[in-house]
Amino acid sequence: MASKGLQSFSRSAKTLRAFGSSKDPLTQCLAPRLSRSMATETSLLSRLSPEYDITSLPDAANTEAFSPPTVLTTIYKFPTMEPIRFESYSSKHLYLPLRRDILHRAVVFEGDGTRQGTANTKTRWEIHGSHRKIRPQKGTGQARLGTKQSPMLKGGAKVFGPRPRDFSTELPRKMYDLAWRTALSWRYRKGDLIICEDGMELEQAGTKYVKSIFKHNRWGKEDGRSLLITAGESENLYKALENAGEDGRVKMEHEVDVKDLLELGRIIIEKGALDRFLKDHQSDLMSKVRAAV
Amino acid sequence: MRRIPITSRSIGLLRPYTTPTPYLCAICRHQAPAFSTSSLRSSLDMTEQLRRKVWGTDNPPGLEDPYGGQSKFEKKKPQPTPQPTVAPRKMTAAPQLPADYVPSSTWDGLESVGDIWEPEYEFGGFLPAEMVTDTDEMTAALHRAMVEIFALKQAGLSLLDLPKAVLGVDPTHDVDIVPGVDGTQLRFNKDSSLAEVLQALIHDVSLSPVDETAEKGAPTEAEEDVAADRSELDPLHPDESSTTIDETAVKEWPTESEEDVAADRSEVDPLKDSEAYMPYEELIASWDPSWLQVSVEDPEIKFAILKRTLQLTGVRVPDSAIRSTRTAQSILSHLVTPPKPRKLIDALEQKEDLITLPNVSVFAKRVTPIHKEKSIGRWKLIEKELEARELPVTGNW
Repeated sequence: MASKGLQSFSRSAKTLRAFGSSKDPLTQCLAPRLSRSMATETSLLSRLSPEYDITSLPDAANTEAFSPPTVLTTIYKFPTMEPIRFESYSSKHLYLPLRRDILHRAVVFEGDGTRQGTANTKTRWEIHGSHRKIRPQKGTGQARLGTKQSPMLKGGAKVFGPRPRDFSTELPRKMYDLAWRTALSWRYRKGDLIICEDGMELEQAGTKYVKSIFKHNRWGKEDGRSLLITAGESENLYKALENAGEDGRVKMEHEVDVKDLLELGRIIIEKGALDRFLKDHQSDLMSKVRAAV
Repeated sequence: MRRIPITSRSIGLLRPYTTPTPYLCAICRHQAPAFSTSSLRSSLDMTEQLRRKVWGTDNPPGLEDPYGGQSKFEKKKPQPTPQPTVAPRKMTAAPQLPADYVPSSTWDGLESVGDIWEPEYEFGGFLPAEMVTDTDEMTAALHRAMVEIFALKQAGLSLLDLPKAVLGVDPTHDVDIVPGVDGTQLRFNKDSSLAEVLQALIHDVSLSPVDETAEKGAPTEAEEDVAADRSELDPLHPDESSTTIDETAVKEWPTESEEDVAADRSEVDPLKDSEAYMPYEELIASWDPSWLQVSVEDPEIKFAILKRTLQLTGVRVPDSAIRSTRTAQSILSHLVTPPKPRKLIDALEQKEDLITLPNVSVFAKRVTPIHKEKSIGRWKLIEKELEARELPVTGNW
């Protein structure tokens, strides 16, 4: 009995050795097969054959396809949209995986922060008037009543009504910054982030002119509207888009938030404004400790 | 209590006169009294009436105006200025129209007054006005772009010297792009030449209306290059590689340059017209399929090809795909992939098996009772009847 068990053990040990160090089942199982973060869109699994081929393990080149250190963008000349050059950005800036949960928290955070919170009602102590007893306590045959500010009377107070308050909530700075870059990355991945040279401006201010530009570049209402983001004040552009709201919107960089980045069909942004966004929203990438001089 | 309308009171029958009244609206007819019980306001003034009553006659004695003349105030009143008499208009005969006069039925060519219509802006963007959607056309455009870029590279010209406008015939139909170990080569078949391709590009450059000052230098330089090219081609020596022509290409040069010269001298392209109408499938089939495997790793070449393709087709390869495109095939796959439909109706209409079902119809908007009435042609009648009854024409459109 015991010898039989020993036999089977030695056989299995032999099999193990036969696999050898090159194909050690343990390391094969535990080795990280794909070096990509969890939430990226996967296109690799469909390409993988059902029987797992050891040779198709991602090498350095394949890994780069999933998370390259930098990504390329095309810089355009504004109204004509002629490509001028490629520009590279860090993939931690423009190639982050989509995190809907973080985007949702950021949008809610912004929405809370923009609430005015000025609704106000009067309590029974604030309503003007005498606090005289309306009628005698007994003998009238009617209900007992105190002052006319009572909440149960018409013209009386509101119980637990809205009072002015601050609705704003809190969100960790790093998470909000990550949401910014996630929103930009989502646009970039979809091809909806169009980066233009600095100084986006039109030759003339005219609604029809800007509409013809939008139509030519396929940015208008039929194509889901567009958000233009400028770093400076482009007078003609702002004036022209004033009455072309159905085709798009233009905003200065300091007016933009995460919700705006997610809203319209595409983002057309000045390079300076994009760089500013990325510089202002990278607290999770920067180390807090400053180097001693 | 409901009030009896005045018109229907029996006393109304006593109305002494029946004048044909002018048109009265329903409300006025209803409210206007048929007769008045108040005494008729006589045209005489109060004094005259009193005088008649006092004297008891209609012709009371005494002066009508015992104080004589008009009162002071009456006298002070400004006299109405006499209206200038206007000579009555005379009838004149209409001017005789010429015999060949034809009234115009459209406003084309008529004199316009005022400036109501703003001119339509013709925005000259980099993208073409019409986007290319046909796969074969897209493939041909990519091929053209690649031939042009590699031709520019072979000639040592700047890859950014692309024309601002797409003009003229495409001389790249008969050129094959061959991937090689040392680099990509262009193989010019019998109806094409490097000079011809470059000339077309430079011709476009010099004709481009935009940005004259910026390009002033480029065409002359390019023309010099072409001239240099030609001077080299003419002697028919195989070892002309003063420009940046790869060594591997040298073998093919002599025969091509011979053809070039012949083509240059004849000045006529016998097959150009026939090729212009060649369907895209045949054109694509005529190329060596290995051109799709040509590497476009060089960022400069990649940028130039993508730029030229954008100019020819209007299709933008998304930035996120730029890095992963390594061959012409991968560029093409991004070009021909149609964008995701923005509306559900567009997505559904692409599903052939769903659309062709006999008992399924797809609508862009919610189908309301009005749509159903319209489909059987009853809605106009309903609308008319509603209006006749002064009922609101409402419903979900």
